[in-house]
Amino acid sequence: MPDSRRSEVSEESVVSPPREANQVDGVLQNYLDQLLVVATEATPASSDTPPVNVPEAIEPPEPVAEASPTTVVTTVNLDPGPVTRTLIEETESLKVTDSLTVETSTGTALDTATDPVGVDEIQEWDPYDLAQATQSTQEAPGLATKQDLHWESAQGVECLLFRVAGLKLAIPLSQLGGVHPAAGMKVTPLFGQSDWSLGVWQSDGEKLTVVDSAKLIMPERGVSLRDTGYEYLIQLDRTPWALACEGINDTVTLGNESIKWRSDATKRPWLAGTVISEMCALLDVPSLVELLDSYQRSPAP
Amino acid sequence: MSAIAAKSAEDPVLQWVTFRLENESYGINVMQVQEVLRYTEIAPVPGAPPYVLGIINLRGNVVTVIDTRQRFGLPTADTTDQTRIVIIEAENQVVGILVDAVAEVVYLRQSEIETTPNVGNEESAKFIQGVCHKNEELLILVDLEKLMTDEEWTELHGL
Repeated sequence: MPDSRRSEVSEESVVSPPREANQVDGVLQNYLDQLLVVATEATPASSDTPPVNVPEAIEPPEPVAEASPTTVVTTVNLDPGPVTRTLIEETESLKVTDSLTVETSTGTALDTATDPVGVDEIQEWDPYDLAQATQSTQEAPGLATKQDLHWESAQGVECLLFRVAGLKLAIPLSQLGGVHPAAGMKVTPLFGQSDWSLGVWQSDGEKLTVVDSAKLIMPERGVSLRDTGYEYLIQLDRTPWALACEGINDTVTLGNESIKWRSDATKRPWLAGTVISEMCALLDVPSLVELLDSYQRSPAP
Repeated sequence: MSAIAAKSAEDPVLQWVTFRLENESYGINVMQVQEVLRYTEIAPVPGAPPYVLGIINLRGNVVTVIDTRQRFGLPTADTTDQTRIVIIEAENQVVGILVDAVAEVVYLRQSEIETTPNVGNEESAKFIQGVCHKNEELLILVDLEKLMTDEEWTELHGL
């Protein structure tokens, strides 16, 4: 019984790409939304892959709904289980052609999906990991981000981690304009500005508009760095925009394989992807700057 | 000598009267400032718009005093010994603006004035003419002509 369920899911995900695209897109969206919400909860983010409660709001993908209700998992293990790991390994072998069509090896995928698995493995399986695994069949990594960075290189890309309202964010060092300690500096608020604008900081050399990252990135949480305070300003590339943050964590080297890229069709253009191992969200700096520039041209939120 | 004159013409020096509101410094063009008064009793005007605090008697002339904090979207505050009424002329009208304190007159070259990103969706965002880094702080320069809309200036004239 478990085998047939897993097989059914795999067939759906591999044989019917158009249907799968919608399903995966929706599930991925929910997954990323939930990841961000969970990451901003009171417990500090950890790389130890703690189990996370599945919210009721998140619906499993349609293929799972066809399975027996008893198989619906109650926890999400952020470490891909054996089944999904196999799927990931298989999907990594997909080949992206110049015309951007994806060639898949259906037979291999089905063979993998029909391998016998134990009950324990089935209990660890969850739709979100499947969504992550099948996502890679839909998106070529180079297409999912507008950044011209060498994510696929063996060296990876060095990123700075910083904290905003409990959420860890990562910014590639090559797109980091500077880090300015907020202590001792005066950010002058300007009246009539959007609530995510903390004001202007000016030194002898440059003038930065300081963005309340919590207000801009997760306005639904109602947290404002204006109230909670901030320690550093993260300048976005060589732009006049700087993100206020509560603290600097560390620098990490991220590779293509560790990032779950988001599609372009997203309600969070600032988000390039998520990094499960670091429990952080990777910033899409060009898109974020474009977003801020657009607000400057025609103030909206 | 002529070179200096030419440079001055290209980059004129402007004088700005600076005042403080909610611990921030603002500047207005000195040419629009007529005088600065200590705080005096302001008589409220029934039916006046919310941005009007009331009127004062200035040597026999009635001058309308504008609630600058309300215009700038700042919270209200009690008056202190430092509170001043700055009498200005804008849109061919003489009005007073209530400020926390008047600081000084500063000289700024036109080239020192920088535009600031406007990410505001409120009318008050239009008041900001520019900013300037002066004396280790940011001076916000206010365009008094845009302090109110044409309709509001007309309404003020009718009070």
